Amino acid sequence: MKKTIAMVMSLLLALAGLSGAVAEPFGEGKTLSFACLEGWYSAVTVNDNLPSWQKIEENTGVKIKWEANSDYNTAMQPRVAAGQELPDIMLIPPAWSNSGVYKMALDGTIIPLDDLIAEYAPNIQRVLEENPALKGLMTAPDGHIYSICDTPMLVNDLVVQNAMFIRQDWLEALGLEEPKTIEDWYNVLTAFKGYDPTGYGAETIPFSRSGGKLYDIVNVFTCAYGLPASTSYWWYDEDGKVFLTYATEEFREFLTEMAKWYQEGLIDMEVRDEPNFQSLVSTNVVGAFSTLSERVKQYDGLLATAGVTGNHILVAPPASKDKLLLKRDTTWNHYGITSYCEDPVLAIRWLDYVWGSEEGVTINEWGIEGLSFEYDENGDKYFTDYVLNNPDGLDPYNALRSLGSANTILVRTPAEVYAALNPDYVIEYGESLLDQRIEPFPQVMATEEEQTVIDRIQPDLTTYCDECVDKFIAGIMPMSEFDSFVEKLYEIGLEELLAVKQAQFDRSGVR
Amino acid sequence: MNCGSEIWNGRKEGRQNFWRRLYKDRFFVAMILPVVVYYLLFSYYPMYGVLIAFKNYMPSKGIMGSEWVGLEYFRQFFGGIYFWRLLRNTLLISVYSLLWGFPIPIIFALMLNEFRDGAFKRVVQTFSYLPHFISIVVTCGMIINFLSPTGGIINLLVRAFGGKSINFLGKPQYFRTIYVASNIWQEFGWNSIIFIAALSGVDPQLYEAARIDGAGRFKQMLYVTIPSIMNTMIILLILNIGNIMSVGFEKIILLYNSATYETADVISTYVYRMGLQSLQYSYSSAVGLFNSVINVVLLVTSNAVAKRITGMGIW
Repeated sequence: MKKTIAMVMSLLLALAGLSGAVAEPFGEGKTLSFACLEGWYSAVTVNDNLPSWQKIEENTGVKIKWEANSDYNTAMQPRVAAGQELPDIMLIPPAWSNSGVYKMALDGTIIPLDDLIAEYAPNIQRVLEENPALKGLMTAPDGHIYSICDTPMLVNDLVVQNAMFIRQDWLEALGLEEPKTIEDWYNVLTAFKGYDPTGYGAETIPFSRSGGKLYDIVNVFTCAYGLPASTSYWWYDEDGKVFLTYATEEFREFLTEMAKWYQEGLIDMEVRDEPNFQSLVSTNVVGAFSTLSERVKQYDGLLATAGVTGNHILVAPPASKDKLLLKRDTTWNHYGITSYCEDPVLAIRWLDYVWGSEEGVTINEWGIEGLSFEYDENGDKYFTDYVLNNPDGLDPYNALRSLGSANTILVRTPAEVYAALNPDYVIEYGESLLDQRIEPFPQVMATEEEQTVIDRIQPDLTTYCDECVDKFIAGIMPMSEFDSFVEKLYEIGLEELLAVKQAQFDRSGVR
Repeated sequence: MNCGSEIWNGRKEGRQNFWRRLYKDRFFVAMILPVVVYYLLFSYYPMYGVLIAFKNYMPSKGIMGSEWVGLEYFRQFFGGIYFWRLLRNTLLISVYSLLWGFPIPIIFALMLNEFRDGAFKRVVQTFSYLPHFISIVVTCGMIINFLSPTGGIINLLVRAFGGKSINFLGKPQYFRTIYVASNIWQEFGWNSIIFIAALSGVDPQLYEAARIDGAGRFKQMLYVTIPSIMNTMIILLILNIGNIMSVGFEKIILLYNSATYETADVISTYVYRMGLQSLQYSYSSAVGLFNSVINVVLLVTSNAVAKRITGMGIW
């Protein structure tokens, strides 16, 4: 008996040794404050220092004072504007954008990180050396690095933003083929319009989607007209010339078709947020929609929960040529060390651990060893039943998020995590569309002068575009006014803004 | 000589009087003090921040340290493509709200006044002001649900009568009506309280005299009730006019979308988008300041007009 215990003990010790050298806690007894987005699983809050982050605290010794907020911009921007004291490390507002980084760097609100990284952050250093493109996106126009950013770049080949979801049982009931071209889609949606899946005369909504405006519902179909799917504003031609997609002939054709669809009741009239849209799906009236490919399980689950027999299949978007499906943005939120931080060295070492090191990324993405994941005999990680068959019935993502992992907090998600969390057919779907995928319009940071032009023109321009596009689709503005729409864009200052976007594009090195 | 010293004495006495009166009324003063502090703290102190409308405000440099740009941001706003539309929408939504929203509580109060005091009157009054206590987010959720083209009750009615579903919140022509009508529904009962209070203060002898002179109920209302509450009406009207440019942005933000900007986008929503979403602090302050200036001008003018016509005003 004693022998066995000893053996088990030594085995455990050996395993602990195997799982990678545990970093020496470098910040014993020290505290950093950190502001970021709230986690995605709303039943818990990362402000409670969830288990995964306790683990990180254990390994680094650094205690984190969390200031996470789901309404981040509204909470943080007034604080920045009022010049109040800021946390040591913060997500640089606005969230999901790099537009605040250089502004705050020029303000002196955040400090340059180059020297700190070179001296104290070997892991970040290595990541940047291995990914020159990422380094380019993190470098401000003055050549300095001011931020570390969330990046989904390693999983982006597998994620399809504009996956087309369609009800397989409806197609079968109506004897229809999977739609391939835009004409097919028109026919299928028209057939869906007259279909009554419930048997008691409910009106169907052939095509819908959650979003903030009407255009969001149908924007995937721009790819049928030679523009990138779900295009928003800027794109470039073969010669590397930047243009506003909304001001093109192709976009006019797209709008004409969509106005017709709207008129015929093929697309949803209402703008819905995600919870509202999900409840609509579960009432069994939505025939097709477009969203992230990884959500297929979630939406099938909605039908099952509502007692509807039926499921969605993923089909390829009706792109008119290759390379029209945009990958997700390479960088998401940017994090900086503020001038209020008293110990920048500690801050960069913490960032180095969480974002840069193998161990930190593992905890941030896989959760806690022995609970949410294990190592197999080859030393590869796999998720346990806690994640894949959660005892509390949580889906895999929410199971991880209940521990504090798999959120959008300093992420550099490895591809194998994504593959392990999603069913094979979703991964295969993503792989089947690889040829069609293309990097999005590069998000280069603006110089000070460029930012002034952008601040002055872009808000008015985007408001005007969003407004008119919705009006064209809803038939409030007749298509005959498209020319005057384009003219007005030039009046607002499109040309000046295009020059800025062109300069940024040229700097990006995409061509 | 004599005269002068008397005045001087009077002044001195007045000053002593002031302190004595202050001491005598110390409890009243204590009661009003929080209100004064409130206004100093939340209305006067922030005015210092208005400076950033004339500066290129950078948070790290602070308000005083930022560079002066004069009227640059005002020029940008007046020259922008949305200036006239924002002004028009703000004014129209307010004017309609005032036009419809102001008389209805008065009419309601007058009607209620014709009832004898009792359970019915109390119940009606209570129900009429209950909606006031519903939070704006909930109200907007109700509006969106009722008007939904797929499952909304209004559209179910439209369809029951053979019509086609109308996407009310997606069409610019309906926005003002929805906004104003829902506002009236929510606030008319609450707003009528002050009139009901004024009505209860009317001297019953006046009605008696009118009746003896042969006035019917309608004539009594016309010649006794309305003149008696005229004061209240005018003061409230002036105050409302002073608020004409400050359309609350919460409700509009909850109800509008890109397709209805045409009629729904007002100055305060624009300031919100520019200031909090696009981080253009100075520009949005300039726009907000412009809004306030118009408000003050309207308030002063309406007060002057009211004074000339009726001899009554708020100062």
